[in-house]
Amino acid sequence: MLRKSDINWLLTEARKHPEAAPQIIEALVARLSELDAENERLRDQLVRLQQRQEPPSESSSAQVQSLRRQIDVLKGMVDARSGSENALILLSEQMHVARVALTRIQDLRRQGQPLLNKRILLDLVGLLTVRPHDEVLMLSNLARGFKQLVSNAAPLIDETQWPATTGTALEKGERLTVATAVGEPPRFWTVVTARGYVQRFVRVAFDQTVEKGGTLFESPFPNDPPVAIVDGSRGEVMLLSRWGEAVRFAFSTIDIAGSVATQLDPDDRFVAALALPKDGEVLILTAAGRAARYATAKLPAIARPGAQSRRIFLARDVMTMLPCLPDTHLLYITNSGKLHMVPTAEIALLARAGAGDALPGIGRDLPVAATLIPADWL
Amino acid sequence: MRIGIDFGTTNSGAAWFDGQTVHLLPLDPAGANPTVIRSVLYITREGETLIGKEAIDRYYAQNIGRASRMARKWVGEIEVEAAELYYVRDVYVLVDELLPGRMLRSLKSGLASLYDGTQIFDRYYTLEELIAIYLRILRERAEALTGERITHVVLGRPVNFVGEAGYNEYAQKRLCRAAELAGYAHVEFELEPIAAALSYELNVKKPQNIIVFDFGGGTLDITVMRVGGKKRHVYATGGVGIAGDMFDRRIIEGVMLEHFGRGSTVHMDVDQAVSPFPDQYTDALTGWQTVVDLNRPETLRFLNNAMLTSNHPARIRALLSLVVNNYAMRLFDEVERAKIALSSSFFELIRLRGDDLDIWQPITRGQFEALIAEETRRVENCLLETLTASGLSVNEIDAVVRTGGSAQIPLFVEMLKRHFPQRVVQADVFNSVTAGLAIRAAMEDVPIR
Repeated sequence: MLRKSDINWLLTEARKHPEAAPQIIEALVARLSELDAENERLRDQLVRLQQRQEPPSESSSAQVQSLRRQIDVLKGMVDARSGSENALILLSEQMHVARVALTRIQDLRRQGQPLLNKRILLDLVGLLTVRPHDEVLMLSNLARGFKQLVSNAAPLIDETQWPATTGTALEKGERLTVATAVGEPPRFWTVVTARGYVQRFVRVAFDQTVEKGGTLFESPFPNDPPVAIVDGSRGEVMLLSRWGEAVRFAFSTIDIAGSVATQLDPDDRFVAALALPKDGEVLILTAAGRAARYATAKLPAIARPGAQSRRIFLARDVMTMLPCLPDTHLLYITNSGKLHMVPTAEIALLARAGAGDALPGIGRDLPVAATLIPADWL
Repeated sequence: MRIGIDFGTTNSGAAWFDGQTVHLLPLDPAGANPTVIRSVLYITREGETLIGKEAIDRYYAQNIGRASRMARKWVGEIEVEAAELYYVRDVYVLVDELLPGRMLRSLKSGLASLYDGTQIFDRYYTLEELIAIYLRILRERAEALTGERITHVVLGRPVNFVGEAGYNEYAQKRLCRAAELAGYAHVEFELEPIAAALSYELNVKKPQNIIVFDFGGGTLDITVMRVGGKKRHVYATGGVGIAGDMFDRRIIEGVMLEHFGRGSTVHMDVDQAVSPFPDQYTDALTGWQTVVDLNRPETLRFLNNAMLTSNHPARIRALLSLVVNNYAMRLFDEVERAKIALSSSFFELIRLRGDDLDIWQPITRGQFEALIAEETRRVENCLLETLTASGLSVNEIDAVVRTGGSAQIPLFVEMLKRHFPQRVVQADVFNSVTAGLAIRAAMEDVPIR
């Protein structure tokens, strides 16, 4: 190591004491000669190593593939554990919470590599895009709540298995049905069930019940799991069913003991609900891979829960409804475990009741779960 | 027989005076200068004790590149009292089971501190016992050389011992106890600069006011006194704990630590950002005692991991090599050699080679002087303050006698010449204090005041 400051000292000394210059030059020349010899030795070694390198055989090619795969796994581990990155959260029915950094998601998507294999895809309940300091709030089919900090979420290391759960104790038959990312906790939470039962909670009381592991509510309907939890502080809530039935009303009209949003057909069920602070657009996605944007202004609010719903979408396989904000991308994972991304602006606006347009390039590889990513997170 | 012993931080010596001539004793026949013996003690696992060049040679022979095996060893119990709880707790230390011997340097620097001693293999030695071993060997060699039994010794002591302020008397008592343990029946002390003045006085024809500038390995001692007449008089004494050891440390801090990872970065945990390589590992290289602490399994594990993620892995590997192969003494010796050489040349190389270690570090005299600028300022202040305390003016000083290894550093020679033009005298670098102590020993009970 020869620092710039060392060189400056040598020059200063040689100028101040010219009699020292020959000694300094001799030492530098000796070192130069030493380094030159070392350099030549290393270059020779490099050439010899290059000559020894053999063309890859089939077996070595397999080894290379295996090593590349290991590198990908390690990279995934490093990326996913990076606490400073926005990430995608994958949730399983058994309440596994796996974290993957968005940069890795981008890499996998560009390379067309699957994020999950088919076996563990069966357990996938949902996707969430989160910031590092967010918390994930989850509700089970038994109306119990659970929380987990994103920073504590385990990285998804292996595409063939979920990471270990963080000790969440589920009861027999209990499974995760809905989750949301929480940045700043709201004053009220509103929970919506599959049959349209809606209940509003003061957040403090809600948190206390969650901490105690108690049941948050009892739906008047049997086997009626929660399907959505939204910020119920102000504005209106919009519910959408699998068959395209929608209803909209103000949070303030929800009865203190809970209300039933509307009477659904016995075979229908709500799949999503969104808080609507003001009129905008929502994005509707079907299990068949069709999507559409819908202007919420077209759906008039009902005076209070219990009134007739309106069919806004003609498909009978609505999978989810997402808030469609400007400059966002729809990210969805398909049956093959691959990731796709479409700018929401490229998805057609539903002019009248319709079934949406097929997502580009999807073919038979249908979506399993979806979420939205703000463009500036990418 | 009465002798004088200069037990220095870096070097020691012994002599006797026959009334006309000082006889310096060649205590270290293996050394380059047999009358100067390094103040190092090496205790082997078998209990053999060696000093001087023999100790250094044995250390190198037994330790460079040797294997280590750290093991947890029970050393005793401590009583712990917390609130209403009282319990006895076992205490363990990590020891190197393959350590062939312990090298001890700069023992004198521990006198003015609360440092009590150390465990060496199966025995605990107090600092006084360690110094006693060294002084006993000196006595035995002196007796063998003179053929007489040594009963009286005059030991030199600095004006201010290195260490805590206010510990001078305590340090002298500990040194006295060590000498008694070493078998010296009568122990007296004399300030080292006064001893140097007595040595200078041998060649003085008429009374003079002199300043003795005794600048060795551990301390700077300054004495303003009158010599050469019927009555000697000490006007003032002063001193600071700055000397050769500290200059070595400044060189290591200034130009060597970067070679061992200082300023590098590591990325130890994927959850954490890249962070600087912790200074504690390179700081340990500035002290002889602290280097040993690096040779622990947890530290070696950390260094191994740090090497994998550092932006300069070769530098961390060099530190690992230094620790594992026991190259630290080489580092200190090489730095000291370069420092001494800079007194006669303007440019030196600090070269350190070994397994995974190849350091080529140039250093110029100007660079060295810049590294010790703060110490230089303090030395100059000490000199002027002592002169002021003496009540004498610069013009009333007839000679400035400089002695000790650090007094050869051109920066300080120039400083003395600047304040006392044409009056700076060079005494014997390493033996003037020893000679003066021998003269003092021969005076029997004549106090110099």
